[in-house]
Amino acid sequence: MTGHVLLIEDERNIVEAISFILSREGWRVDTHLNGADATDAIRRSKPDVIVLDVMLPGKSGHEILREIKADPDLSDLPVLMLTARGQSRDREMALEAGVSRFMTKPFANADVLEAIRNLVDPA
Amino acid sequence: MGVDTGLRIRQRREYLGMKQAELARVAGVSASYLNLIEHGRRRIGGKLLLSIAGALETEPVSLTEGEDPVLLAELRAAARENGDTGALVPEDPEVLLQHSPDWAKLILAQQARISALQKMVTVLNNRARHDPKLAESLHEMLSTVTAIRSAASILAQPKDVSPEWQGRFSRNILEDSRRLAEASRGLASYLEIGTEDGSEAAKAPEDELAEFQKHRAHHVAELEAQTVSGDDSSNIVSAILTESNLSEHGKTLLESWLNSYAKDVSILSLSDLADALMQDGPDPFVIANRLGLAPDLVMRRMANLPADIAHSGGAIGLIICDASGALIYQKPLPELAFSNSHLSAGPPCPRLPLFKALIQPLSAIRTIASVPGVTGDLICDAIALPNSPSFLPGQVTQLRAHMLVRRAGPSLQEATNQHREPIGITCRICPRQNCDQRRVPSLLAEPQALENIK
Repeated sequence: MTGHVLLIEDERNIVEAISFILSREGWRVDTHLNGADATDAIRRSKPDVIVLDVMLPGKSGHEILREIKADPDLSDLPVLMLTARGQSRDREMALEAGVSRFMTKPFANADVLEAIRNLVDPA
Repeated sequence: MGVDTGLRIRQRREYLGMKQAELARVAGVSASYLNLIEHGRRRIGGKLLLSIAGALETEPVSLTEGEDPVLLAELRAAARENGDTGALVPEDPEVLLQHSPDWAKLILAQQARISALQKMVTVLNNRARHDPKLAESLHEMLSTVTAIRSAASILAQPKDVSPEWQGRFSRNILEDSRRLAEASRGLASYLEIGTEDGSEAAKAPEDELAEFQKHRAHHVAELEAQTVSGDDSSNIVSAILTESNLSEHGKTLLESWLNSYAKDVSILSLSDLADALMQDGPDPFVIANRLGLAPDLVMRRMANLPADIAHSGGAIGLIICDASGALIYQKPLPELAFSNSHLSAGPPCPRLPLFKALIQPLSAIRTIASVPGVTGDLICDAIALPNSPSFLPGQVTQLRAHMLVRRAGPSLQEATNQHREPIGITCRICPRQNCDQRRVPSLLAEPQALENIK
C-alpha cells in the first residue's frame, strides 16, 4: 500500500529522513516547512494522508488541524500528528480536534511507516 | 578459528532465531557438540563448517574471519532498538562493518548517546510544563534526537541506500550531533543560572549578597580604611546597608558579612597583609604561622585583596562551607565557580579538598588539582577550624572549612610526577567518565559514565 503524503515539519533533517523512507517504499512525498500557509499547501497538494508537526513557525499544528477539520473538502483527510513535547495536554487537544493518530518524538522510522500505512488502508 | 568462530556461529544463530538443537540437526551433529563449538571448546573446519555456514545462510569465511562479533552484536541490537528489524536483512550489519567500519562505530556511539539522552529527557519533561524556556530547549533536543535516530536507522541498512544518500545522512548526523552538543551545553548553562538573563526570577538573599560581593570584587575599601582614619566600623556598615538595594533578608546577610570583614581587618590590616605577601608569597599557611594568626582568617583577608595587589600574585579564589558542606561564601575563580542559586545544577563536586578538610579538622591540606577543560593546575589550600573561638561546657562547636584557590606556577605545572587531584564543579556538568564519586549522570559525559553511579 502506497499513496501520496504531505509532510508538514520545520526540522529539515527529519523531513529528509522521513521523505527518504517513504519514497523508498514507493510513496509520493510533498513537504512543507512552515505553519503559516500550510492549509493552502494541503489544498494544493491534495494528499492521501498528512503528517503534521505540532510546533511550527507561523502557525501551530493544532491550529492547522482545526482549519483542516473546519473545511468540508479536507475534513476527511487522515492526519498523523508529531510532537516533541509528549505532554498529555497536547494529546488531548489533538484528539479533541479530531486527529487520526498521534506520535511522540523521538519515534522509530518503522513506526511512522506503519502508522501512515494504517491511516491510508485501515484494513 | 576458535572462540571467535564459535561466538560468531552462536550470534548468527541467535540473530536468525534458530534453536541450538535445530542448527545441530541441520548440520548433522549433536546439540551438545554444537554447544562445545559455540563456546570455543571444539575446533571446526572442513565439511562441518560448510554445513553450519549453509544452515546459517552465510559464507564460511564470515564465520571464521568475519567482522568483530561484539561490534556486530551491538549493531544488531541498535537495529532492534530502532524497531526496524522487519526490514533488516541479516547481512546488512556485516556489509556496513565491511564497507564503513567508522560509520558503524559512529552509529553505535550515537545510539548509546540517544539512549542516555532519552532517559534524561523523560526526567526533564515534567519540569517543562512549568517553564517555557526549558520546554523550548527540550523541543530542540528531542527534534535533534529524532533526526539523528531516523538517519542512523536508515544508515543501519546501507544495502538500500546509495552512496550519495549515505554521505548525506552521515553529514546530517554530524550536523545534528553538533546541534545536540550545543543544546545540551545551553541547557546545562540554563539550569545553572535559572533564567537566561537572570532578571525575572526572584533572588534568594544569598544570591543578593553574592551579587553585592561580586560588584565590589569582594573588597570593601571603606572598611579597609578604618585603621587609617579611625572611623567606627559600625557607622560604615550602616552607611553601606542604607545605600544597598537588598531585601531585608539580604541586608541581614550583608550586615553579618560586613561585620566579619571589619573584624578581620582589625586583626590583619591591608598593609600588613601586603607586606606578608611580599615576604612569604601567596601561601596562607606560611603567612599564618609567621604572624601567629589563624589560617582561615588569612585566607579571608587574601580573598579581600584589591585587584591590583591580588593580581600581582595571580587571581585568588575562596570557598567557605559550614559543617553540613553547604557553600556559604565564595569568591570564584573563572576556572572554579559554583552556583549559589537554589536552581543550581547540583551540589558541588565531593572531591573538593574543602570537604577533605571537614573530615580532617585542624589540618592544613594542600592539593594540586586539575579541572576538566582548564589548562594548568590549581593549588587548593584548605583547613577546617571551629567557627566560634569560645569553648564552653555543653556547647557544641561547629566546624567551618575554608579553601583558598590559586593557579599553580610554571615550575609546578611542568612537574609531571606531581599527583593532580581530579576535581570538578558539579556532577551534572562534569565530563569525567570514571569518577567513583559521581552522584548523578552528566549532561556532558559519554554514556559510559552512567555505569559508575553508585
